Amino acid sequence: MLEVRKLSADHGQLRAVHELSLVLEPGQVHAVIGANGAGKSTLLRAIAGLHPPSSGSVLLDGEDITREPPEQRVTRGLCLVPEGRRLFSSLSVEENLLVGRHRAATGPWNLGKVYELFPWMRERRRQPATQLSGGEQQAVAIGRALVANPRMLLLDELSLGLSPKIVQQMYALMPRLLETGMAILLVEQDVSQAIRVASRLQCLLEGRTTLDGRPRDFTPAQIEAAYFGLREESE
Amino acid sequence: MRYIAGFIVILLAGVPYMLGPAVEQPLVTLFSLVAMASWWNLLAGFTGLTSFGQQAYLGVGAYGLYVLALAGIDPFVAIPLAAVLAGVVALPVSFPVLRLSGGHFAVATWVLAEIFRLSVTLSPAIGGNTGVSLPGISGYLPLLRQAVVYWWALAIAAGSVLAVWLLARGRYGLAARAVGDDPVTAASSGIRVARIRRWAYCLAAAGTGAVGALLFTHTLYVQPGSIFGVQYSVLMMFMVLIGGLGTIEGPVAGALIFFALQQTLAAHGPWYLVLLGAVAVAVTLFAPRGLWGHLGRPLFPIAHLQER
Amino acid sequence: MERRTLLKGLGLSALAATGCSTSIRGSGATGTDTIVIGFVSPQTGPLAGFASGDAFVVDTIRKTQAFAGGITSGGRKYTVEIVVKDTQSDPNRASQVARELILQNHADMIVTSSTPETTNPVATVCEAQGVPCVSAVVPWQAWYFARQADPAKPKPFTYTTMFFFGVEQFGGCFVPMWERVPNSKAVAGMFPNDADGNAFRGAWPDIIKDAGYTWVDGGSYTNGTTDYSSMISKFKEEDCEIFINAPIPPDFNTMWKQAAQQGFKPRLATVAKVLLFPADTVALGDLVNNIATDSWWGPYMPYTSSLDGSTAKALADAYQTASGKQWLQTLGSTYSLFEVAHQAFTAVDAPHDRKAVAALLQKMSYAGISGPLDWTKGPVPGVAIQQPVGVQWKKGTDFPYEMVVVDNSLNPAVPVGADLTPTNP
Repeated sequence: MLEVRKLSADHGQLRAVHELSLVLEPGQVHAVIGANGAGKSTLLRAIAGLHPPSSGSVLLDGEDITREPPEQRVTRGLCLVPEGRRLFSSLSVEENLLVGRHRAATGPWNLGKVYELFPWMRERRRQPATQLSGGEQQAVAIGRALVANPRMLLLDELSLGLSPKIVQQMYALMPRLLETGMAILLVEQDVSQAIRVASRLQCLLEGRTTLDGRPRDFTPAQIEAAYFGLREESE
Repeated sequence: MRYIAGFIVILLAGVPYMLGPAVEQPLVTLFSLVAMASWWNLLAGFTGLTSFGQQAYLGVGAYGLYVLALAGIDPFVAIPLAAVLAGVVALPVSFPVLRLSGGHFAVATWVLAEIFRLSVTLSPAIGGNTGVSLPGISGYLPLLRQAVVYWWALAIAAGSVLAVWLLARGRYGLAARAVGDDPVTAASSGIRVARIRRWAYCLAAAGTGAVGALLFTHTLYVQPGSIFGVQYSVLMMFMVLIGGLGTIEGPVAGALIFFALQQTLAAHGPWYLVLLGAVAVAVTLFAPRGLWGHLGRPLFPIAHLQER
Repeated sequence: MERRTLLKGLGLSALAATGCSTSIRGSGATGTDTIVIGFVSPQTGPLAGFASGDAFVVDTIRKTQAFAGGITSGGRKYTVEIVVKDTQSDPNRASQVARELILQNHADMIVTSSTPETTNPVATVCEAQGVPCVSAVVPWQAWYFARQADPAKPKPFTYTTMFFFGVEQFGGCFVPMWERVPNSKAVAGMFPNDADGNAFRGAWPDIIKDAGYTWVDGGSYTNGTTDYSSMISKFKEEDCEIFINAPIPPDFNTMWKQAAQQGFKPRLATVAKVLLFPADTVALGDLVNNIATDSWWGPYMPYTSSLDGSTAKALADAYQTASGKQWLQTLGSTYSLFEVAHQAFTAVDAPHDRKAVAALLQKMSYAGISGPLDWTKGPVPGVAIQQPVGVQWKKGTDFPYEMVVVDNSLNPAVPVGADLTPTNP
């Protein structure tokens, strides 16, 4: 179980995340939505250990990992698929996956399983990662995180820069991941995709939570209001 | 192909018997270039650490050898010890410099080399600015000494290429290349970035230190202004860039190209430096992956594939 | 068994076991009818000022009958080849060209000149390779001690010799000049924090005290300093009327200009390491007037060539005619290097016998264009001492400023050319 308690994070003078809390349990998809600059990515990066928080704490199975370096969180089963894929440009497809295996936990995932999930990848595994299309790169990025056998998968802006069809394919994968008992923390601008898969929805505005609960409990208008911060004005 | 490389090394080992010092001399220079470039490539090509201060460890190697030889150890026995010394010196140094990256790292390493140079200049006990001669070689006949220097040079060059290759094709190499590409993502993929960089820095320092010690046994005289000169870093960068960054063959090819240019153009005085610059610019523009990266097939593959 | 010998023994026996040392190919003396002399000096780079007359001197030497007609040695005639190499002012390169001369040109002797950065690497290579070598224009302490395996326990060299002078001659040359100018007996010293500066800072105080003067240290500064105000005001406070230094030339130019502006006008300036050559005087203009320094060679020396009997003046004049430039001190030194080589090769039975040539160099004594040089009486084996004279830069007839002898205390054979004039009246 991943727990975030009153986490704050700054970009210089600017507070990007303001005392945010959330809980992620196995088998769940927790979607964090919000407009550009709402602090979603910063939150995710702080959880992954890439952005030092200014206050608050991150707990994994009750253990405080707030100050742990990112690589150590990977061995604990916390893996990030970063925004913009960020594949290693001088490495081949398979080498990118092997980097993910570097400090992998034992579990169901390995390179063979990833190749089963994306059959095209096996044939192209010797190609430089830079020769792939955006959607293919996203698949490799997901594969790179999966082979580490995470218990908590952090997905940052999965749909960014991809065609709707590819986005749909990516989201179609999610049930298969959840089957293995994995939990997913999703950061997304594309609200409609997020709502479809999420078991819990959290909307951020300027670093604060404006909405938090099960997606079916909210009307589209409520979500829209929370997303754009229109509540006060409409009342 | 690798067997051919091994055969060439064995063939080269026979040079002192077949061709004598007139051929050994330029080859020692070539071998030291190959070793220097290989270690610089481990830093810049694989781990993404563009250092401008590797001359610091040439100096530590050379002066380390001086101190060891002064203590009565045979200079040729002391070469590996001097290399280890350079690696050990690099360890505490790595903590401040590796906090930096990119241009800041490059400048910091350069400044560090200058600090090393100044410290030697201001230490009369190790010759100060005037420099020192290598002690402990009077027991060797000139012919034998030159041959031993040559064999050491060959061993250091072949050993450096082999060591960097083994590192690059191993688990370490994959992690290092990931760190070189994108340290943040590497960290979030579970790679201990600081440790990978520290190993690269210290190993490159030790390798470069061995070259420094070797150069001292070759020239028999060392002076801080020369051994700590930034031109060595420029040279390493030149060779690796024109040869092919991040490949095993690149630094070797770069060293050969540089050596050939130097031998043919040196007669034209300073113009040869202008020409070298022009070659570097042309290669960077038209073959950014270096000449080997464009033309050659890897003889020493570093690609990782899952066994199956 | 001592550890050192043990280790050495291990290394050697390992090689011997594989039969290496016996069958390695050599490139020693070739036994031809040609004597090869290598000449190494810094003809380009920051030290090029020392060597600007070298090409002319080598040309002159080649044309002398003594060299052009060949050298007779052991009853056999040998042609002479002089191979000139440039160090580009880089010690590494110096070592490299010395090795080239030995391995590729099969040099029978290497002569080298100008600063430890040039002579020490060359001499080190020669000593290790067993090739006779003569150096010049390097303080003997820097040449002798810096190349020792253990400077505290110096051992004489076998193959390498030199001629020039040392730190003690500066005192012997400068103090008599101070004595001749009435002054406050306080000596201002400008010495940077570098090898030469620290060497002088170590040596001068004793000399100054023994001569009955007080020593005022301007403070250890870094080469390249641009503001000397505090140093200058200290010299003024202490009422210093004698000035000594050993800086790099651009720093002296800066300091001396600031001293003039800020009113520090010592009665006599006796400088070392700067203003050795005419080219150095240009930057200072008239501020160079009556600054004193040391001179180890010049047209005023009453010496003649051991090769053809021509005078020092003739050599200086020939250089000025050929180049259109003012004579410089290293002309005589470079010339004498070849005189020494000629002396050695004519005196041995076999010029390719390096041991014999080296042994002869160690005990040579002759007189040439640099005056008498005697290796039997050196402060240490392998060193012959020249006696410099005190000179001042004075307004000249052919050139803006010329060196004129004003004090010959160390070498009375040299005629005095003018009175010693205070630098600042």
